[in-house]
Amino acid sequence: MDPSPPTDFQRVLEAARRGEDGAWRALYLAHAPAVLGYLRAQRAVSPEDLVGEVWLQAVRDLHRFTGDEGGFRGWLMTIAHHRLLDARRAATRRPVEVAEEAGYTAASSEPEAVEQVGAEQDLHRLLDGMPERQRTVLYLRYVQDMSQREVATLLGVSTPAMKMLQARALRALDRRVRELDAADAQASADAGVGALPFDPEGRSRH
Amino acid sequence: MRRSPNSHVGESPTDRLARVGAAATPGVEHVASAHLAAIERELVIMRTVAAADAPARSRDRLQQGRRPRAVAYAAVFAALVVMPSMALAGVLPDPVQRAASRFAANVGVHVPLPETAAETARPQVDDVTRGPKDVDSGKAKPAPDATVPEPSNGRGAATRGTTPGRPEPGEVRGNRYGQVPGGPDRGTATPGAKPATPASAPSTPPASSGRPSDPGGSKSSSPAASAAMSSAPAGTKGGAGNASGTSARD
Repeated sequence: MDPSPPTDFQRVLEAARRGEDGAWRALYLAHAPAVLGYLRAQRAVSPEDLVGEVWLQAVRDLHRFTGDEGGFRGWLMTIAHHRLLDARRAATRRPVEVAEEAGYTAASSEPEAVEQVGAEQDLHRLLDGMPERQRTVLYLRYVQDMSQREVATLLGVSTPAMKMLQARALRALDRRVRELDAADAQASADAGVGALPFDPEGRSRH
Repeated sequence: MRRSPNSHVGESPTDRLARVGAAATPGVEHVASAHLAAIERELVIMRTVAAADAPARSRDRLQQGRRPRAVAYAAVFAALVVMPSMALAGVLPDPVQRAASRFAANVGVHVPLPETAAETARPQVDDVTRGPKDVDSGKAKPAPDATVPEPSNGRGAATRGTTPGRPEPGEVRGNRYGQVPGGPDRGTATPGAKPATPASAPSTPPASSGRPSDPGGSKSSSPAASAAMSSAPAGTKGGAGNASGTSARD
């Protein structure tokens, strides 16, 4: 049986094993946003710092990784998850006063950045109130599109246990969505009663 | 007005989560340069460490290559020297010993079988130290004691058969159970000797019940038997010994 030709990812991975800077840059740009998004969804205090630590560990331990691109992303998420837990444990031992809640501001004033922050706030509204493991399962399964086995490995549980956790998380998400819909509908109704003929932000309603 | 997460009607909760999550994925442009610089520094450090460790690692690899060879040499030595020596000494497990004996016989080398090895290893017991002419002296004979040297028989019986395993000319030697070859026990009980009571029967395997007892070498002695022998009248020379031997036979 002829071996399948190496994919682009495999070529990049081999180059990264040899220590080529360009390969690492490609891997970083392809996967760092997902890692940062996960840490932000988990309300990490310093997600950018944790992303840097994740990639340094990935550089040191790349020789232990084998798999495809999906496995590489899952491997990065596992490192990020463990780093997050370590940071939380360190924070409980040495409480750090945070000037503001870990609600992230836009990196720039560009519309895309503003929209991204808005979406992030919506994401937090969806996931708030859930236990951490349920949030982790929902985010990794439905936002990062990881498999059940990968998520189970990351959490350190069996696949059946992960499925039960996912089922509970989906029920919680469903309840949360209905609550938000009801709240938004009420807010819209209230807003409609006292609505101004123009949008204070300058956008015309008509 | 803030856009509601519920802006897509009919959307399932998981679809909404996926959409919102994808939109919420941040960019890394503001931190990419710092992170990539850190990655580059780490790669340089790893290359430097790897270059410095290369001679040590090659030494380790050489030693690691030597270790399996040493194990192989030890295995060959064990197979060629130790095992044959153990086979010649007859100390291998029985199945292995038999197989080794058969194999060695094919090449003309004698390797004892397990049974033979056990026989030669057994301590040689001086069953008979006197010939058929020896008569029981009737002397009281103490129980055999490994720490007490057995007294020699004044008749020189102790001198007979002193070489274990080598019978004297004319000597009739029985087996270790006291049975003289050639028929039933050739009891030499003295006429008129009273048989010993069952209580005085020795608990040890009867020794040479058909032979005149040897004060120096009888193995049938036990505290009770020796007491019986000591209480035997002087006239019944050999009777007690024979009686003990007879009772032992019974």
